[in-house]
Amino acid sequence: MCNIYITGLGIISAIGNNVSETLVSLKAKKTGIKPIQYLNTVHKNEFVVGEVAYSNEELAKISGIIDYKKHSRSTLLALIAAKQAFENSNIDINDGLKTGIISASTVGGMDITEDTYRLESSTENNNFIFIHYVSNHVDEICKTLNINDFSATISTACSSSANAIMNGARMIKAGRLDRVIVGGTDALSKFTLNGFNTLMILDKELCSPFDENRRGLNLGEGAAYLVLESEKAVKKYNKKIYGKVLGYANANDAYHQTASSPEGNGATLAMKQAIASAKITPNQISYINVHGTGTTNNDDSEGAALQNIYGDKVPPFSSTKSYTGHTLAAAGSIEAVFSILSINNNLIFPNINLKNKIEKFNFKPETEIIDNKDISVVLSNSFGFGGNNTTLIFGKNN
Amino acid sequence: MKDIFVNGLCSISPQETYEKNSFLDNPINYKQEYLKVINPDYKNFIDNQVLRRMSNIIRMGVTSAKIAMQEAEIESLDAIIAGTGLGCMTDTEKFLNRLIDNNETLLTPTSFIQSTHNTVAAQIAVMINCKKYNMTYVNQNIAFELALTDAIITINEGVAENILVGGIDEITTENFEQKKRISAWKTSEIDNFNLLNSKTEGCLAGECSTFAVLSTQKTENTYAKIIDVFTIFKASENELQDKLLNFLQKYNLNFNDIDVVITGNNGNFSSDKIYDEFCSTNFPNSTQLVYKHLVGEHDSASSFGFWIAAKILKNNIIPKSLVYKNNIERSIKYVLIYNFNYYLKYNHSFVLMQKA
Repeated sequence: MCNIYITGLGIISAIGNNVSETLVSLKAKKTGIKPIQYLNTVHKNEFVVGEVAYSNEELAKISGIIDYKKHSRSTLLALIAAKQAFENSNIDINDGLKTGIISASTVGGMDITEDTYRLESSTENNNFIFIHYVSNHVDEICKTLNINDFSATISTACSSSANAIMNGARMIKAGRLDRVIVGGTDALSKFTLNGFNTLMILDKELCSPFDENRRGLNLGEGAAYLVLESEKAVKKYNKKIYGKVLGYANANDAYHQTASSPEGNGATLAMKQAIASAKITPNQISYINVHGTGTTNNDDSEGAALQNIYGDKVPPFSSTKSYTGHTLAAAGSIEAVFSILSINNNLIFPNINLKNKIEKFNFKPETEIIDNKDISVVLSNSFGFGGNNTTLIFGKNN
Repeated sequence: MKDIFVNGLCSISPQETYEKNSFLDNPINYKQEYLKVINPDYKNFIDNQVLRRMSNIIRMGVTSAKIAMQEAEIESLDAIIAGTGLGCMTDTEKFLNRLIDNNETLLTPTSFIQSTHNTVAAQIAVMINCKKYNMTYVNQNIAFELALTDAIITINEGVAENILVGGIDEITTENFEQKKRISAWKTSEIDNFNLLNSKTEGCLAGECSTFAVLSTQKTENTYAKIIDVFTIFKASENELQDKLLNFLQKYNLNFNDIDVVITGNNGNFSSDKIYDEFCSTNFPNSTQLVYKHLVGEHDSASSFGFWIAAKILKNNIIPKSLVYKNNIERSIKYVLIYNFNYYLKYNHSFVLMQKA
């Protein structure tokens, strides 16, 4: 198995506008979940969310976009995070190496669509027709960063960006790319807020993943990207390496369009196969960043999957969704950045807001920062609608 | 690279295509604003209870997948990979309209649940209890090609023997009306047989669901072999020529070796010109075929081009309704499918196929 190196990181979410701000919040146990400030919804005072603390106009300024109205919030967030990763990896796009992008989103330009859908035809009002496409943000990243060799967009609900990371690594392994920017983006929209509300799985207070009395999830928004490079690309520059993608797998629960199987079948398969692909044993994993949305169904199912693999002796684990909210398509890549931060700083980030562990399991998530252990291998789970389960494994570059 | 065979195939399209032996024998002449698929009797393929809740894109996706699997005579799959530009538009519009009409109240979950882009691939997995790799690509006009690329990589990783891969998109009245505003379509009803002579901008909208079973083993059902897929975001004509040549040379081929080029001409004058010039420069001796006048333009329309290529390579027969230039009588060994985004003029794709 050839090595896949991580040489760049970029992130924007409710807990920070870049990698260093994010780390500060994670260490300080500081949640980004608050009452709704920017999303223009009738449910403003009803729900708390993990919003990025800027208006679209402000996001456009940060990303160097002149006319903010021409872009969806998902695209603006994506541009900011992808640029950070690109610059962090010091990429020379004209160096002859094959560079691509694989990104993910579920809502695409829905935030603009839902506000302009019924307005009369005009150049400005018709913008949503173009930017509604989930792949619009990828086109904009390609144009901004001059990426031309390969571009792909994945949309598999909440596992989308984990799949983008996996498939970026697979493209390098297949020899089709030397370098690939991978990740995902999703902005908050009325469409998703109301959609999750109809499913009755939104917590109106700060969510508490893996708590016996958990009430549901909080939605969030953000974008995160990683730069993956081949051995050849890394050798050419002698770059700073943040870690490696050691393994991955995608498996399907084949149970129900939205609910996870109570036995955690798909999740178990994804974790097992990812561990096998990394050529490690389950006990070599230092920390698990669980999907842990805070819904009854997810945490039961994921807990069952952990039990299937580990019995009662589960490695230290936590959900970071009570920091950021569930950022849907961006969750996999946001939590991949957290996993890399964990490896690089030998830290386990706590599962904040946990009061009582789930009774039926004989294990519980970490609730305080752990900083006295070597974190060499991190497993990260992302599960989505359609039973789409993906596990990624990251490791230290020794 | 491993050999990859197309062993099962089904397209539900505005033409009579979902029956195994039909190959555009009597193409339907439409005079309307956009083309809808001819629906098979879905009750024969999907449980009635389940069927009721499904929008048409899910129905046609699941059914074409099932027929392709029946043809390939397989019951289990090692991966399901789909490509779609806009995904489940009917469900998306239903939820969005209710949200706007009722000011974010009185909403029900079904259309939200089914609005996600991966619904079709997920429903196929549930229906055949497939717990394997499940992926959905959504890059507008190259979504299907990316699904194919992933299938090729997956087979070469040695982890899969049978993969279901497909392209699906539906046209809705609302989506049609919206794209009308940006002059995506021709402005009036059009005779689809005359579409490519119009010399005006805009095209004819359509929809389609095409699924194929790709396998590592050749069988008596085998249609064709897939060699590889090449996509690029933006390219000048010269760049495209160079990069396509590089791609062909990887497989020891040259422009001259391509017997049939299937292009995405759709009646939009400025983009059709690009196809025509590219073909007359690089493929002066190849037969050029077109298909979008029969099924209309949609994001995953090139999957119908793929359906045609596979059928041609199996039978060495070219339906007259597809011929655009140079119908040269010869044994057909290599077919190349070329498509790009006619509106934005980027995202070029080439699918290279061979007689099995």
